[in-house]
Amino acid sequence: MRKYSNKIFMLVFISLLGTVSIMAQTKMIIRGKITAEADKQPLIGVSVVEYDKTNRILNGTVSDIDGNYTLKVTGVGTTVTFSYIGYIKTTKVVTSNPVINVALQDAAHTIKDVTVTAKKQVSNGFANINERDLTYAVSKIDTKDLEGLQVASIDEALQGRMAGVDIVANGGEPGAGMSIRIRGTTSINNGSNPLIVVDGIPFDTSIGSDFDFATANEENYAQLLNISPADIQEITVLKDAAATALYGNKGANGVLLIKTKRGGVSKPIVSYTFKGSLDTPAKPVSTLSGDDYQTLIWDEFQNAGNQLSTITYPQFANDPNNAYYYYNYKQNTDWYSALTRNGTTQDHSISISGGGEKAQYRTSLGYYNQQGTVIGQSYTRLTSSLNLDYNVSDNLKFQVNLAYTHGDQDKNYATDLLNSAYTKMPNMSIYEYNTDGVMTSNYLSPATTPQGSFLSFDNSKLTGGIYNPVAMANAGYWKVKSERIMPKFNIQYWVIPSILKYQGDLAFDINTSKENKFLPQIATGRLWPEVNVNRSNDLSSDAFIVQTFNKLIYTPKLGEKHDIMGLLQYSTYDARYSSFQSSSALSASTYLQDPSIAAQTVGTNLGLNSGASEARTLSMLGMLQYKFLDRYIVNGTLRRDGDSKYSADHRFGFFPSASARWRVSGENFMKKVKSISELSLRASTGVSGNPVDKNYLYFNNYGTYPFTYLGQQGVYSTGVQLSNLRWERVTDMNLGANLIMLDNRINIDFNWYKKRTHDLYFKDVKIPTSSGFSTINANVGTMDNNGWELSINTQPIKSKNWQVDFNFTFARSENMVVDLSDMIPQLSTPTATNGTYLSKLQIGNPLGSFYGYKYSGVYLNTEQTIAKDKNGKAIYTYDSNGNKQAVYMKFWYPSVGYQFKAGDAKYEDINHDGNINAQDIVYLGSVNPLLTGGFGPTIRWKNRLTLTAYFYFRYGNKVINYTRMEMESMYSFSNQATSVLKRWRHEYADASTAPTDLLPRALYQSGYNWAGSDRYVEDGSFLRFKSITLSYSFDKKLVKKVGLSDLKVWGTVQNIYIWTNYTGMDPEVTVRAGLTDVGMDKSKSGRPVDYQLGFTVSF
Amino acid sequence: MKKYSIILFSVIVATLLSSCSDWLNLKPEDGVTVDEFWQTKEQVNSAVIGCYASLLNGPVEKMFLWGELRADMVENGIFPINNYSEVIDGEISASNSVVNWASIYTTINNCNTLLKYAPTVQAIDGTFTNKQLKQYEAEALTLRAMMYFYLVRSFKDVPLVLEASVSDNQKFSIPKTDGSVILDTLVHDLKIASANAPIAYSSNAENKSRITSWTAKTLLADIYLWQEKYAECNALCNEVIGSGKFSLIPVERKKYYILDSGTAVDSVYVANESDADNMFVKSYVTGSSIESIFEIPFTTLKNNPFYSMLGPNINTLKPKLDIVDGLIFPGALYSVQSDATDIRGSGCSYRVGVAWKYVGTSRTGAVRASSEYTTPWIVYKYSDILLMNAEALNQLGKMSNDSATIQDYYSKSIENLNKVRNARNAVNTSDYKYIIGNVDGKVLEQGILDERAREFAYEGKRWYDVLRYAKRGEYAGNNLQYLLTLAVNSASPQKQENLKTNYRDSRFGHGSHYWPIYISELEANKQLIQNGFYAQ
Repeated sequence: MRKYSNKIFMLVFISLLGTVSIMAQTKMIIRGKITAEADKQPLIGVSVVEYDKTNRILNGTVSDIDGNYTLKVTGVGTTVTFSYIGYIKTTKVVTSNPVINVALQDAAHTIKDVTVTAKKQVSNGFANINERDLTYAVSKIDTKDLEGLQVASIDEALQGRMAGVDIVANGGEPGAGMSIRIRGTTSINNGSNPLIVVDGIPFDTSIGSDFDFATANEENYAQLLNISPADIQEITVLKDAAATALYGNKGANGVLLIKTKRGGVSKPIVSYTFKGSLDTPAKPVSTLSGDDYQTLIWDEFQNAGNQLSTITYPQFANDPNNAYYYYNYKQNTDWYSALTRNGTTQDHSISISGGGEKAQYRTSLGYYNQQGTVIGQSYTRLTSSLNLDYNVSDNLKFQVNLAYTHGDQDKNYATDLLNSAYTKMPNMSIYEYNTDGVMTSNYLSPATTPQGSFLSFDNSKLTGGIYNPVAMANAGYWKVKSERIMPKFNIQYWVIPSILKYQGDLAFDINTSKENKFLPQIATGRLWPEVNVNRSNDLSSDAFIVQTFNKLIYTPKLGEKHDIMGLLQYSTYDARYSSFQSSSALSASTYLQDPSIAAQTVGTNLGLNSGASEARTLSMLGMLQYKFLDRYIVNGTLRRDGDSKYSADHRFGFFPSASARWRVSGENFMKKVKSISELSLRASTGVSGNPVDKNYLYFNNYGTYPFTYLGQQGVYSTGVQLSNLRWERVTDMNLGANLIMLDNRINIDFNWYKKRTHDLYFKDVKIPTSSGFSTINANVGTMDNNGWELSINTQPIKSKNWQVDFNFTFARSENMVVDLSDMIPQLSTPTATNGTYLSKLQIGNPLGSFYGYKYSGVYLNTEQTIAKDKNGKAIYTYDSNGNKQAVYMKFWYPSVGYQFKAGDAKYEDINHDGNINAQDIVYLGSVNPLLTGGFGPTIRWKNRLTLTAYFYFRYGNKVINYTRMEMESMYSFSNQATSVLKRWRHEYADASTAPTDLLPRALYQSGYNWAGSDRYVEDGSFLRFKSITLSYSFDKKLVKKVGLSDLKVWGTVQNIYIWTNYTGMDPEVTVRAGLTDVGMDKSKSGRPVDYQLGFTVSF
Repeated sequence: MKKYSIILFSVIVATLLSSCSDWLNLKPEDGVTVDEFWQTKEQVNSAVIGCYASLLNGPVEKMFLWGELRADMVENGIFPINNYSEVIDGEISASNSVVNWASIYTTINNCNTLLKYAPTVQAIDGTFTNKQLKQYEAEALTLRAMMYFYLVRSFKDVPLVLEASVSDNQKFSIPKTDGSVILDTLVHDLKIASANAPIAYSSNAENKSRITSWTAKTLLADIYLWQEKYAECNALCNEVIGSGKFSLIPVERKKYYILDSGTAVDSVYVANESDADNMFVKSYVTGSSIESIFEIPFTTLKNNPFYSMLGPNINTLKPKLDIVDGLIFPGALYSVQSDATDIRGSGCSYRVGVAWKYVGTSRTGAVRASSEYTTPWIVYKYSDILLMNAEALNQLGKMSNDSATIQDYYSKSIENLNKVRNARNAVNTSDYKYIIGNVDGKVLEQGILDERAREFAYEGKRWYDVLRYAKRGEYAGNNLQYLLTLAVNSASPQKQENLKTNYRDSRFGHGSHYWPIYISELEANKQLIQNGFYAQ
């Protein structure tokens, strides 16, 4: 059936093309001579072209050395044009007279002033609609506003500039992605990233999570918007359901529409842009020196009741007679500085654009290179693109876009290098000293250190092991090479001129990536027969995506008062992924780094593995927009989506939406109010669907164990069949207003919205493990996202020479859990462990709240550890002999029953029972900000000098500073922050003598001094002075003298300053919406300040 | 022409609409679905292997931890794991992942799945005989019973799931079933399994690592012992002993007299070193020894979990030598014959500070490479049958009134006990010199427990043995003393009193003697109620 339908499709396609070939009429030959009007000299090489009524080219020739031409034409009635560079094009109608002589007029004499009046148009990706007629909530940004920002991708530049769009960087590593949320979190576990549409074609930034990329993550697969920012013309964000209805399920989290630059009718314009920058690493958390660290460890052991044995730990003996240990472990190494450097970035981009009436082109080449601030991290990207437009006739048009990107990312093998630098024993040397106390060139990487050994490394995340970070950065690597080719073909044909248009799109996305990883033995120090010695991985992965779109756009002419646009669309999507990985270990030397080199391939996680998967969707869409009297606009959309991820019963979803706009300013009673040029009210509502992210879930799948039993392969059921999975449906209501007044000096856009997500999709919902499985994916609840957003653009000063713009955006978004299935534990049971917070999913409460103990300092002396009743009186009991005995504070008695000692962290005993347990856990805060936004002025002088500054902020959210928790835990051999120098070291008989910022005592592997409490909960509000840019455009006349058409230079400083009370590296943490791990800031690296210079030159 | 194209366009849309549901039907490319599986008897066999293979993915680690952490033979190693050290000190919280039973239930579900689908294959594959089906079912029943027996001994009451988990339409939240009811179910299943399971397979490796009738019987004997049904236990032990399939590896001993001023005052035995080494190598290196009844084999492709747990470089746990070397394994009685020691002691159970049976390549040889941790996990071996039998006879004797019967039981018990002791060259301190005709049942009881500690050191039995002793007869007499002694021997000094208090707490059916239910399991299963002791 499928084959059959493809054939029919081909047939139709051909027949569509067929309709344009008009049957040839009587042939005739015309001839003539072409001269220049001014001097009557013959013109050589003038192009002579015959067109039909729809401006389709029929025949053509050029004039000879004497200016003569002959052309066989199809007959009387067609037109012939004569064009030559520097002359005005002349058109003649073919009559029965076969001789047509032409005198061309010099173009230089005819240039007049041209005034352009045009209304801003916004593309919804389907048809261009005047921005003033949009019934949806949109934000738009022109890349001109961003010029001069040093960013690898446009998302970084968008940060905070659009109301309701919250973009947060995932990390400071070169090439790391950003997470974008449009209007808060709609889905808890399903991806919340918006859909990105480039030139009308949805762009895949995520891959199916079932696809086994081994340790690769989605970021590596698709750098978000892997397009050179210089090629982007404009970005539009569609926010409400009516807008996203056009893109269906994938647009449920909002849609980012990106239009790339195209060529126009002009002579070739060559433009070159250079940006260069210098990044200085952020100031690190200050950590203990080797000497202070040793004291701390001695303390830790002593307090835990064991003397540190220098036989077990000769590293702490400090015995000069044992030169090897003395020199190797009596250092003060600053691991962080040893790993960081100043980063540099260079970005070149060159483009040529231009074209004639028939064809326009734009081609560009870009080179981007970033050296990260951590050794071993760099990112190089080559981009090239070609956009070609060809107008066959007035009725037929082709567009071809080709984009190719080559990415080359060097990462560190270990993903927690800086973390390791922070916690690594600072008394260790980087390079090994020999037994005579002479430093060698070998890295000091013992097989085991007091901190443990490399075997505790989590191979799936490449974190957590003990290694020499400098050796790991220099000798280990993780290289990701990616090639992405995206050809797109577009045909537009007016079936009925200016009334019915057919548009067909075919887009391919071919993405291959190759990852090579190598774990050097010299960084881990592991011993030879282990599989972690010289381990190498080679992973190839391929993605092949084909999308088709067939559209019919109907725009009938119904007179002045009525305006109708109709759209029918049928689209398909097919994605195939495959990967192949080989891993080996134990190659003889650190220099033998390829898995194909003879080495061991048998062992845990070694050998070969591969994966493949496929996903398909299709959708049908109908849309109708009607405008009456330019004042009343309504829009309705119906959409039906099918997805291969669902069982046949739940495969199709139906998603309607409707929207309306009333242009109040168009009414007669408003005409008198001259100061208001536009006042509109908008309303929209609709449903969209969010698909699950995994393929084949509705099957009960069987797999084999990756090892044998008695030499035989065992088969088992890998999960239950999820026959109840349904589409996650998002119902959206939006009310908005637009106000433009005082001659465009004030432009206000306001939106209020209410989103409700039904059948909330949860990944990894815990089910009783007594079923044999621990998690399933399911639709489990309902969640609301409500909020508003306001953007105000003002122009306080507008004079001949000066223009000052000031823009603000504010947004507030709140989410709330409305309903939850019984499968979800709404209240996670409190636990008696260090380092964890309790998270609750409570109906009526927002996601992202966390709970814990109240920290109230340190028990300064033993007397303070006696339990107190409500009145603050010590609690006593009597022993069997009748003696009065104090009751001491305990932790989780009886199951744990730890008794607090002087120097321990003191948690508030909320119920005064002398026992710190679940009853003492209270609400501590939420990660959700009350308000987010940005603002900044743009000052222009004579359109030459421009100064732009940008600030953005988040207000009212709480962040758990996990980094501090870890760096002040004094629980293990990890190095700690210098703040632990103020730890409790002796009893304070007189409590008033104790310092106020005293930390609890050091305690090796015991106690509960770093349980989840408000000690680490901080205000995450911040105001960041993000950037300031000064740019200068040289006078065109001046520039022309040196042979250029345009020259512009600029300088920018980014991440200039941050105002915050937050003590961690950066309060701008990724807001993760999930069941646990909410808003924990585990980052160890801040944002580098960077300084850039750049220029653009056009010829 | 244009009209035609519109019509044609509508036609394609219509065609595609009708066929699109087919177009969206995609099947997994790298796996099979339940409908495609379960077609042939070979597939049933690979699903049976899947049940066994799942044991390597977690259950063995649990069997070790649950059997040893709360007992007195291990302590924190060089790199202590907090979860372990908390259990050692008796500070067990429900969030301690040691108590997570998930992997055990995965094996149970694999067995349930087999029991559900294997009978359906018979209708499709005509060559699949009824006998073969019953054999496969017997294997799954026995494995499932083994898993539940571990759960009941560890948690007492657990959800009894006998249905395969297939679809999300099923109800997964299942309440706890009383442990004694579960045991009765297991007894019923094992009677069927022991009748249907094969007596032997075609290879020795299969005889040792697939369920035989003898495995089912041994497991059933063990359950009877736990249920304190000693006669039934005794009968089954005799069946296994009578099968002649198993024996103890012979170790030649040489007798030496201890002379005091020229007169022999005592005699000691010295085991032949190469025989002793043979026992070590056969049991813990090559595996599938004549002693083994059921063991779980590991290969270089799938190592046992003991490298990072017990290995010499990075161990998280190590033998608690002050207890093991001296208390459990008494040293040589006379310094003139310092070789007269138990062959299961130094050089087998422990050596150079590690649990040697998982680490060493021979009694005195090198340590294993990290990728060579292939020591099988021995679930049951012949000595277990002998000692179970000794224990059952001892209890039968204790319960009898007639002194002749008592002595008959005791002497048979001692006979079994001594078979093991002699084969291992156990050191005959005065505690173990039983005078037939005048044996104290309680002393013999202790002797058997001590012998089990030596025989099954680090084989995941110690805690269950002590608990079985303590709970005997509803904690009759001073049986609880077994646990209190264990508390003193296992926890660190400052934690012992608290632990003893917990053990003495008889509320919640002696709830402190069992594990708490893991926190995330409680969250996911609304029907579960936490073990009362840990719910306070």
